[in-house]
Amino acid sequence: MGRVRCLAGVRAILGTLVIAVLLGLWASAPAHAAERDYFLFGSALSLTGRFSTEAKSMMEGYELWKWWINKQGGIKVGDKRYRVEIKYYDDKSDAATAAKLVEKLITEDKVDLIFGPYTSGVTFAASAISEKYRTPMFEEAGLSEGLFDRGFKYLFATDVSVRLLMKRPMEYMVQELGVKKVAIVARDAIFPLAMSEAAKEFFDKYGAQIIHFEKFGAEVKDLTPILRKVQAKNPDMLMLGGHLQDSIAVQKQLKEIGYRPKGVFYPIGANHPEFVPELGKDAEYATSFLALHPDMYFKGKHMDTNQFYALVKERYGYGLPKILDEEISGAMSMCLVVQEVIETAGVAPPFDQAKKDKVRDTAAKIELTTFYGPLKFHEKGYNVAKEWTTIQVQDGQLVNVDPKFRAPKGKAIYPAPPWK
Amino acid sequence: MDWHPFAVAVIDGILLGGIYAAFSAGFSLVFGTMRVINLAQGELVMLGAFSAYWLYRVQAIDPFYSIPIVLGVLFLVGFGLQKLLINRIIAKEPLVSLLLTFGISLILENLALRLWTGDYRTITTSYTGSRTVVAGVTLSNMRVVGLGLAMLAMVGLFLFLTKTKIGKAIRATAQHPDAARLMGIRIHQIYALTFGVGAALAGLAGVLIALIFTIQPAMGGFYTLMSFCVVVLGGMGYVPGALVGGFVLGIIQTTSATFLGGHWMEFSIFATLLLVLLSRPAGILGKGIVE
Repeated sequence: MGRVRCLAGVRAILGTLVIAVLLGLWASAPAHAAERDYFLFGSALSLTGRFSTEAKSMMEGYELWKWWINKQGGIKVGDKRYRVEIKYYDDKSDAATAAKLVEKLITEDKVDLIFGPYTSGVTFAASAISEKYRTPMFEEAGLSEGLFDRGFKYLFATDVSVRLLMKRPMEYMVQELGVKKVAIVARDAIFPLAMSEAAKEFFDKYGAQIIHFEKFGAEVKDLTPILRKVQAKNPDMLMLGGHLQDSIAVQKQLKEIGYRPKGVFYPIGANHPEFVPELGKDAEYATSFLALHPDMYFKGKHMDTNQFYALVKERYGYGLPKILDEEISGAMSMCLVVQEVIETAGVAPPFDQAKKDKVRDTAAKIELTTFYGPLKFHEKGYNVAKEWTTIQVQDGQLVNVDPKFRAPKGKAIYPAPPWK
Repeated sequence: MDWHPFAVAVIDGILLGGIYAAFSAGFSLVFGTMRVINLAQGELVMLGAFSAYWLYRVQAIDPFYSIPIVLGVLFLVGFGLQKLLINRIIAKEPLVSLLLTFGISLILENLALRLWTGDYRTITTSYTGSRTVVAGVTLSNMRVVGLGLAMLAMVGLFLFLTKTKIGKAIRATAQHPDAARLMGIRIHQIYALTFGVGAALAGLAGVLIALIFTIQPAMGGFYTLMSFCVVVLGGMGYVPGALVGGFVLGIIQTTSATFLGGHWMEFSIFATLLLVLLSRPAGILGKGIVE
């Protein structure tokens, strides 16, 4: 009797083990993606929370490329085309969540590459994970210098770093407008501060004098006391290194105290679709910069700038100014870079470590022009070739005022007239 | 005449403090009456701001004309929240009401995000940004009017609480709920009315904020935090203290920005808060509730 019981017990254990092994094999089947004949990319994006507006625009850029490339049959590797799928998770605008999700994308979903999240802060955390798993991350919305000073080998930003982003606008303001005295007011956060420090460096380099540099805390809404101090010093140009809410608030608060500097530059301001509609006439004469403007034209390898506009119009029905949304164009351009890298490397899905390394090595050497502009990666991983143009709000329109980028009609109104 | 920067900073601080007082008075009233720390106060400010914004954008109703509508809508929202949810946990541990109001704040914020996206918005009318120069100092008309409205609301609230039967019932309930119930006061009804009034005041502040600053569904956390600071400074549960707390907070913020620099603003606020909590836990006026 005892022996029978013992045998039954052994049988039960063996049965359980067999079931467990079978379940394990079944569970690992999707990860066993040797038969996958399409590219699978993954992204942790801020689909909810404070960055959701911009991140959703980025997603529109990713999806635009996916739609466009799949219409042609997919990415061409050798003689064969492979369709593209992108898996998204919502990081809830939280850096730690993004990092966990990127780990899940790499280890569980077995994506070939990671597409970047939104903001430098989130990218900082997420890219540490993709680097740990030696999986290339291509991104366009994490541009702070600190991201690229970590010696990472698998991080590629298809736009210029914050520092280089500020170079051309500062050069334009000093050399073309004749700005001599500058006040910089900066939010004490990674991206705004990085922009402000870079602006300070380039204003200084081109010969303007920084007469006021002041930081403000993350929860400050009312900058009236700081603006009054700036008013007392009377600079030629006021630059606000802040987020969009700061730029809108400062434009209102400048009017409230009746102070209009000769020029006011918001790196994040009129280049966002909400700025002009929300402020109406009060947005006039505010300056900002843009990656793309209808005055700019790039004959990209896969499509030119006009073809990109037509594609956005066809897919989403967007016109000006939404069509210039840098998140959509930047994300689409980033995807074209990914496409070019994969096609050049000639690696078919799914990616093992050798293929990921080949993508990485190919990306490091690539030089390309997309509809968005030229691209060449610095050894630290950011684009060194792209320049942004300076714009000014005039009669509610975003006028390109930097003559370097074909602006035959656009001319800055400088100094701006006093508030009415 | 050139004013000393300190005087200008104090004037700016008083104007800012008026707005702080407006959204903090309701927080103080609710705490004073039912000992509930309403962590959804900022989201009620947000709802008020968006109500005024959409009435202006869609119906072209001037924000000042929309104030009665916003007050009414927010009163109903507050009344409903209290009647349906908060009344159920009023006798329980303070932590339960904290969790509940935090949950409400998350629901309201995410509902607003779903409905209106995360875009930043503001109300810009022909008169926003208009200003008056008084003895060489440029003052924003909007902020002066905002201060006036906040003062009016505080006086109105004071008269309501002291001169009307319902107001007296609210005070009686605040002082001794059991005794009030024995006197025939339906205290749960009074709680709902109180929360409604608190929400209406938050709505009023929301209208002013939409005119002066930017608004966004996730803005509420900041205003809840500021409400907390204001009522601690003025005295927890002591409604007139919200005005004092608002002014003190506004003046600390503007003077620290003027003389120490923008990055000292938050430090100065929280350092003052800490000092007041340690030295005068019942608030600057010493009339707050300390339990």
